[in-house]
Amino acid sequence: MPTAILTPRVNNNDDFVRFICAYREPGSPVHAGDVVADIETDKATVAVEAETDGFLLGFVPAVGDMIRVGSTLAWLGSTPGEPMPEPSAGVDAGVTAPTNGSEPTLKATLLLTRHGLTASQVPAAGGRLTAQDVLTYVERHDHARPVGARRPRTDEPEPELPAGRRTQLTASERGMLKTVSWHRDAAVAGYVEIELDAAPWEAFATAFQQRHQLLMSPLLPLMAYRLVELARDHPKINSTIVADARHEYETINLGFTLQTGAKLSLLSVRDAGGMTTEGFVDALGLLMRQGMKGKLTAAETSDVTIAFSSMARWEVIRHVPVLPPYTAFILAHTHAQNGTAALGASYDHRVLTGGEVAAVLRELATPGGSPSA
Amino acid sequence: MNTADEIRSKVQELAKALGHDARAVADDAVLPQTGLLDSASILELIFWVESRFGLEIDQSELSLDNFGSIHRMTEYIRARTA
Repeated sequence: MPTAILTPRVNNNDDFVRFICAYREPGSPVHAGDVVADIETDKATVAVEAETDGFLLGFVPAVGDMIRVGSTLAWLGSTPGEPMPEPSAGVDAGVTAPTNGSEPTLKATLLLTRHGLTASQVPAAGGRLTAQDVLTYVERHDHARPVGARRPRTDEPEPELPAGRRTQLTASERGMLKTVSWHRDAAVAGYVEIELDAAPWEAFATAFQQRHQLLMSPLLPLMAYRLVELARDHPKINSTIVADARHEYETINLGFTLQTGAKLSLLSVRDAGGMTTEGFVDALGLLMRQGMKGKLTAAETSDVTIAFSSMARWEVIRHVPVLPPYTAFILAHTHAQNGTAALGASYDHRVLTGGEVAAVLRELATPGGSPSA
Repeated sequence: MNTADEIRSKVQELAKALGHDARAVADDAVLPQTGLLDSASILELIFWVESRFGLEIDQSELSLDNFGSIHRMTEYIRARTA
């Protein structure tokens, strides 16, 4: 008897998600844990796995459809030729999302403002008006681009390439593609860097580690927390541009890059500005462990407002990180084997000047903010 | 291969990924102080312990007492799996 793979909930706010990628053909064998599809909201992309072994009989919606959470996404059977059950009025109701002028998500609101649109102009594909709805509308109507943005290059014709094998990008690879594209198309990125005397920070971290009997060096979490403190003092580094206004975030959600194997994740320590130093170090440690296990939720990797990236473990002398979408500042930390250390930052020049960024970096170079602290 | 050997082998593998040679690491060496593993590598080591020995390790248990050396890790695993 066929088994349904149901559409999972990605986050509490979205009753509809978009079916964006099918990884298996009808009739192909699957094992429990195999990724069969990707779904996404404007906040996150999630891989959908088979819960049992079997054969994929087919997908109910088409790729690109908006589908209701809980509806049947695909069917698995015990043989490849089994027929797919007819759609049921209960579980599969609302496979196609309703359209109306519903309440926009935060990202959709930002995009509407950036493009000089109102929510009533843009049809919602799902229960709420999402960023994807706005982007789709803008593309179709060739609406004015955001301030400072170049034209997205998604409409470029496909290049003529030598023959090769194509592999669908994974969910995290597509996330990176989105990030890099935002950096290229929306932000006007600059980069500045200062030398870092690593000794004061290392001494500070060692003292903290001994005081709290920590297993791991808290150096990077402590530096990241210092960035959070500076974002409290300098709200411009915790902001983005919306149309011709600066949008200063009310909360500080600190993004922290974590590389596990070949996978790069951006952890989101939400409301980091409301945490104590110890609370922040604990919270980031927990997120890192979740990241190692591949068990991060959408909320734990989204809505970053400022970010921190260290490549000290790779002992490079410089790296220029890509700005996460809707941020103006990402710190770049390096510490090479020859002792050379640096603090840099990629920043959105629409929001910040190089001088402002350099001043923040100088404050960050010393734990506690001043040489005497 | 006994538990200590397995841990030692994993430590060497993680250290090698960072360009360090950990073949001479002593069982009672305090790993975070050897400079062979950084914080992310120690996290990977903890994750490996959880997977390999079927343990769920609480954040509060991540201490030098439990995981500071190969010897202490071996004792911790022995106590948890006894």
